[in-house]
Amino acid sequence: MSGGPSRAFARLAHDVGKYVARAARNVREGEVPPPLVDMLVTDLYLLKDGQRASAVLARLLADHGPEVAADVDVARAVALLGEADALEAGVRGGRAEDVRRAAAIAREVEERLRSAAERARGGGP
Amino acid sequence: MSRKPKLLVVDDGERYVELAHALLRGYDYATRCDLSGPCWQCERRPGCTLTHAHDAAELDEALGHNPDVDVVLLDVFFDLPEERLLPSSEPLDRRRRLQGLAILEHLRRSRGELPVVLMTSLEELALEDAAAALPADEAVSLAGADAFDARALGLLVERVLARRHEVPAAGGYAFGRSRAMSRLRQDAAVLARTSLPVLILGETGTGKSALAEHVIHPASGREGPFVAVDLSAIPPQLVAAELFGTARGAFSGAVEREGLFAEAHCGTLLLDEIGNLPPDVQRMLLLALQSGRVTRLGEATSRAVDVKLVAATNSDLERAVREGTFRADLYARLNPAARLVIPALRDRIDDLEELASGFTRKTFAAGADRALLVRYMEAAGLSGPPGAALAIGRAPEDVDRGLVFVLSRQSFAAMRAHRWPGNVRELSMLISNASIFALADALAAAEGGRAATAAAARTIPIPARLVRELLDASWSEADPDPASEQAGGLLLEPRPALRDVARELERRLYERLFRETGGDFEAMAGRLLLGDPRVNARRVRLRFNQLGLRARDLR
Repeated sequence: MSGGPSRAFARLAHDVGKYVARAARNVREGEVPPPLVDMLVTDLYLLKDGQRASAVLARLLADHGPEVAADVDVARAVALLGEADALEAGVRGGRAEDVRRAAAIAREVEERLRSAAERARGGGP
Repeated sequence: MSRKPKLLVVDDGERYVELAHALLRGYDYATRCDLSGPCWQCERRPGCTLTHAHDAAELDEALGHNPDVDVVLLDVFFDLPEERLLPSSEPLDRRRRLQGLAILEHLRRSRGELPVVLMTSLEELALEDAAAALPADEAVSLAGADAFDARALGLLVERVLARRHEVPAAGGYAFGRSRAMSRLRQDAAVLARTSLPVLILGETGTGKSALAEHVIHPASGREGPFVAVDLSAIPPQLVAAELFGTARGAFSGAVEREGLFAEAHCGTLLLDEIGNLPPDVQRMLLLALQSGRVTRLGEATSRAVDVKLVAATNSDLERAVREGTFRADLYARLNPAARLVIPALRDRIDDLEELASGFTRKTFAAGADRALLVRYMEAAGLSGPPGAALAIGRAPEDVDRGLVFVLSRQSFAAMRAHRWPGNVRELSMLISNASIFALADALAAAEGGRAATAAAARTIPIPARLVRELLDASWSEADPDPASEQAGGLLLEPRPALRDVARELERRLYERLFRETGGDFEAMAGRLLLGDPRVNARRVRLRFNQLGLRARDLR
């Protein structure tokens, strides 16, 4: 992939962070409506071309040097998506506890990848 | 029952439309299918590709099916095959990344007034690209990081819809697409993101304060308010107190007051007519700019303020520096090297048609003028949503919604040849006056049973004589003569004709009555005309407009 590290981090934040948290941003207190569960399943397990978010992130990381994958926030995002994969059956089944945890994971993945992108751009700590 | 606002989603994927259909159910949605009823209840929904528009061609198709769309939700990145992208000489990757902006440009040409929410943020959009598309265009909003938060997105859509029904602020720069204005807009957006002050120069009526409010302040990304002050309207001895605030007892009658710098904290402060700043306040302003702190009158301690300072003037500041009436160090601090100069309307006359069309729409967007348009449509038996457009030469043949005002080619040529000393403000007044008077005549005919056929009734010719009279009278609207203003409005410079003298005196009478009655047209009618003031108020309002007066300028 072309562009420097800053561009690489921006791409992670856009292609994975932004889309993975689409439904998760809308999960609030109380019962989660079924359409939202379906969207959460799509975001986490069918993010792009039928691939899981974890696989999309792994593929993007493979395109870049090790310094991108070694970033502390990116590494945390990888671990979080691994945890989300383990919850797949519960989320697909609409189990409230798993849905909420998966949504929290998705939101944190977005925050981590956005934070990494901001740091790479020189706008963050 | 009023209809729900209708949204049209334009996205290469399904994410936005799924989210909108699932969580924003208070709206109708424009689709490309002929079935009625909500998409989310449709049996054919799984796998359906007609739920929204995936590219520019499908956008046109959807708008053809749904001319009543209220807001477009537009993605920016379109991961589509090259043949589905709008043509451009840009590299393919960039075309995909910014396809939404190309679609926006495409949409502006066909439906320039249609509000668009761009589903992206400034973080994802390069600044120079954002400057080209945003935020000078008041019809475009950024959803930002909230694009996927249904509650936040819903609030944004509501704000956009509410704004659509307001009369937009004056200043025609937002509608000009000449190269000079595009460049100016771009420069303004770039300067807005810096910590430097911005100096705007331009003749009266070119839209300096509008540039500050509608381009610089939004592009600055600041969350504080936009605060504007016209320094020519404040007595010199009060300017310092107005800007920096006062402590109780600072001088006789002084009360606790924060001042405009504090009011604009974390926002933008526009000092209009900066050339009028008294010398002692120039020094105080210089200190504030250097230190980022202000001291209220009567206090010893200073306070930090974070303000984006914008200064504007139509006077020659360089000459004022040479003549010693404006401090050289303050002038240097105002960043004159990067000053923004708004061109006079006569120097970008190719923008005239677009500006005139925009002012026609604005004139009838709200308030009494819109009510007049609605009344005419009812009297003429016209159905559909009220709205106004402008055509030059002749009206389109198949007008089926709203009204079209028609300017003859001769009138338009006369307007192009005019020097426009009052710039876009003067053009705005001319268009308002001409269209309102043409409409009033049409209304009188319709109410008198002399209505045209339904098709013809949607076309309102603006008489060439009326345009000529308004152009002839325009010189009196650019710069009122201060000496005669001070003389109670009765002394005038010699005019070319007695009718011009009468018009100017009448204009001042209306100004005075407006102020004395607090803008109550019924009360004004009671003082001007015999008969029922409620009936006469509309006539007074029309005359008020014809004289080039605008209520918001006098309040």
